[in-house]
Amino acid sequence: MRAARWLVSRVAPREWRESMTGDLEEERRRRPGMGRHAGELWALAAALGAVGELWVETLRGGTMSGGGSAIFGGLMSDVRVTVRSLCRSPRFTLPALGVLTMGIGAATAMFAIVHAIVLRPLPFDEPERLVAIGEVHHRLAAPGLSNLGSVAAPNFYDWQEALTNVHLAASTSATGFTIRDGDQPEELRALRATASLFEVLRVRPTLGRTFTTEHEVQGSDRVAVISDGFWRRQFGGDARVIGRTLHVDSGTWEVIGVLPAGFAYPFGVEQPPDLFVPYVPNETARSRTASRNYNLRVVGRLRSGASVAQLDSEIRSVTAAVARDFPEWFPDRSPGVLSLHEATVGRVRGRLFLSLGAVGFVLLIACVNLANLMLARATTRARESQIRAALGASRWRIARGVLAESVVLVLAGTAGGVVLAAWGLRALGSMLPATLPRVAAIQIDAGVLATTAVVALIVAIVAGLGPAHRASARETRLAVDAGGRSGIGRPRRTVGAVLVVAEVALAVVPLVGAGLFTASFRHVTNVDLGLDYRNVLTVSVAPRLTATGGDVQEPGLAGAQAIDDALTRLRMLPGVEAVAALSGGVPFSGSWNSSALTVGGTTFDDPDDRVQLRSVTPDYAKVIRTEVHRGRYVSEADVAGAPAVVILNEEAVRRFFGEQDPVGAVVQLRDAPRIVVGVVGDVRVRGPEQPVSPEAYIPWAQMPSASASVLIRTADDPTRLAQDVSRIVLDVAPGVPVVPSTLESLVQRMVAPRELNMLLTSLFGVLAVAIAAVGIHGVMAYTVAQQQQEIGVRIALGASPGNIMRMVLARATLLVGAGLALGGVGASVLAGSIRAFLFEIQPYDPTVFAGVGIVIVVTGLAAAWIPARWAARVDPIVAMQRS
Amino acid sequence: MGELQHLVLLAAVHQEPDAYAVSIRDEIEARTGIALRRGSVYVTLQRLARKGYLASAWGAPTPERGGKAKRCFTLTASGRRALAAAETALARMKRTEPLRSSR
Repeated sequence: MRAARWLVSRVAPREWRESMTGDLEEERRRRPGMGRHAGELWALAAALGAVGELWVETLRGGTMSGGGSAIFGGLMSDVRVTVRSLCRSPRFTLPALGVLTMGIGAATAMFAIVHAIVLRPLPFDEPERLVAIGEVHHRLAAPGLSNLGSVAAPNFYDWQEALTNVHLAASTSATGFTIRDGDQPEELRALRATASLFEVLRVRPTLGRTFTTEHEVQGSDRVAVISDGFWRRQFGGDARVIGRTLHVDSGTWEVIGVLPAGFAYPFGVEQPPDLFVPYVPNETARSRTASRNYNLRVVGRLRSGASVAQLDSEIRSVTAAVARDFPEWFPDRSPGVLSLHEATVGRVRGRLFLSLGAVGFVLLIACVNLANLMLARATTRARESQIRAALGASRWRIARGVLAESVVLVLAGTAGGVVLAAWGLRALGSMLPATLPRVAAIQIDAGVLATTAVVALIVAIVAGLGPAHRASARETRLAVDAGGRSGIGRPRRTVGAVLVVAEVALAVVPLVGAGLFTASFRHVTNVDLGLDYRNVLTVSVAPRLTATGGDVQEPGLAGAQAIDDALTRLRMLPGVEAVAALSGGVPFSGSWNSSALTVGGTTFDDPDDRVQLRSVTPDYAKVIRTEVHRGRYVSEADVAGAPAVVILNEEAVRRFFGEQDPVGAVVQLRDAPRIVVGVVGDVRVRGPEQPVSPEAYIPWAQMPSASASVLIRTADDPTRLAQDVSRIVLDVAPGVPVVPSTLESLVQRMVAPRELNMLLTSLFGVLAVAIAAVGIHGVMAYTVAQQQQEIGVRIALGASPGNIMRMVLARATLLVGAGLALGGVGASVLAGSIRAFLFEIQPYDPTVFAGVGIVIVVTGLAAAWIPARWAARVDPIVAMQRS
Repeated sequence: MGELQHLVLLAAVHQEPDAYAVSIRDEIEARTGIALRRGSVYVTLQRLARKGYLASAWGAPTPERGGKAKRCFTLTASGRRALAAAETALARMKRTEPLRSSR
């Protein structure tokens, strides 16, 4: 009964404490059969219930005395009075509510994003025991090892046999299954995975079962576990789906299970998989041949008692043993282990926390602003405080009234802020890059609301304490004897000025951040990509997979002839300027083929030095508008049987030929000699922020492919031809899903994360300045009101309205200037910490700082303009009569 | 007067002079089968005291109650009048013969 006794003695109303304790004691003794712990729990629950109901009674306006009820009951009556008072003072209430709504709304929205993506554990059982394992090339490893690369199958199987600290599972990247639904084929995303994936992630299907290791054999592998979304879309949520078949281009697959709604794996992919099928390794998957294919994503669950460090040590020693026998497999690569959570969110955490920090400044400014507004209000109501004190109100009673005002304002602001945040998240949803992990989980849930409530409470206390103290201070209560207004006004003006300086200084920091990110984004979009990506439509004709997993095999697709037919017909479409076929990866798509290059007996095979190899039709240069610098481009004469040629880019020439002219030289590509016939300009195929790669272009006719991308340059908006293009491609290659895209959309996708950062920080910078402007306006308005007599005297002595306005604006400029100087120092200190996120701009860029200074000064002057005009219109007679 | 207040007053009458929260709650449960929440009993006693229908006094502490005293309630005169009025009103509502004019 100790806990119950403690609760009642501390929390229950005083007049009930003794009798309630005795009542519970008496009732407990009537239950002798109850064990000690059960009895404690019973008593605590009974006490909580009784005390809770008594407090509800109090909150409804009961006038019970004693204990906490005196405080609480009084506070509730203060709240009622406060609400009435605030409704009667819209000139105070509306700006205060507006500031709070904006500040709390922005903070709640940003926290919801960070909470869903970074803070919440992954949605699996015991997620802290899940790890991601990858292979990292030493030269490509980023600090912190958050870029885990894919794993080669032989390594996965060796680890699976040898590692004792972890249970492993593997999956490939999602591949396309084409399903026919009426006339239009649809591409499904299928993930090939080992059966252990479901055990490792501990996911149980809602219907049916998952596949087992028995299915990882050719002939037994035609089973599929489908996602909840696909089940509802394709099968209408039919509970009898188990045993039904899916007819796709590569054959027939039996549905054996349905995964639960909300299951998401892997994270950060544009399209989540529709179905999971068994990964069936071919003969080379387990043997270490010359060809190394890094195509597996490996995840594991630590066994009981094992740690990441132990696993890391174990995997390194296992790999070292393999490397002794097969050194060519690990010349400069090593395995890396990260918690799955870190592997998922590590690369986005920095940017998101930056934005959270920026919004923190906004919230702080809102807090300071509210304190300033409340100080002004407490001062204008000083007379009321004096009268209440004269009638016997205690200091606490007066301060409680001010605190109640703070609580009510913050509560209302929080409610408005949560609504604003919900709207903001919906509006922001479409702008968030699809590759951001766990985007679908962003919502305002209980965790976000609880954090918002705590933050709101802190804001209410911080903003209300100063004004409460000021309103109840002895000097305030007695100031009616000392001359009233002037006794209060000067200290209030000083405090107000200090708060405005603080607001401006705080606003400078996010504004500088916004300026730097905006400049970075501008620089990124201004990078010369080496081609003209506007008005180019792209259509991929993806390679089809057959029954065996892992390797790409030649299809049942219309071959290179079909592509030639498509090119001919596409050229005849109105509005088409040029058409080309390309294999080896569309620029900016993130996929490429690479090859070692041998020049003058030296083979360049490092990952950094391998050339990106593309085979192209002659019009490719015309489509992407790249320049030929030396020699010639691919021509119609470069057919099969003609001399094998290659065109290199400037980067390849710089690296492999130095100052030597490469035209006419013979190089080896894919073990075949080729003559270099031309040099073209560099194309930043990996995007504006990545370094240029060496590239080689081979005539399509000399290395045709049954899988290609077709690029079409149009005179105007390329999407207007999407339907005609799709029709032609379907005609010549039936059963192939056609998904038109544009080069421009690929570029936009690449810069989307940086664009989002820019938008968020700019939004928070604007909010910060807007809230600070409200503060400046408030303080200047108050100052003008306090100095009316002085202004009246000045006007009576001959000062012009212009002089008065200049006087007010000069004071505002002083405050803004002081805040700017302070904020500039703060921003300089913090700017260095965001260097890693900037692009081609220094954190202390003088243009950005100067721009921010101009914005702040102009905003401050604009905010002070109206009070300055009020001052200029003061009637000296009225002003002096009021003294 | 609400039903709960009516029940608590009646129970207090039955339990006088030893009417306190526990005995009132037990009385109501024994007679009606209704197991009231403890908090409801305390709140109702408080409301009735506020209305002036009940007066409270401290009983002697007992070992069964861990040495804590009881807060015992008795009906005041106005409480008895209010209870009588409520009983009369109920009785009138239950009558089946036609209403007679009060004049």
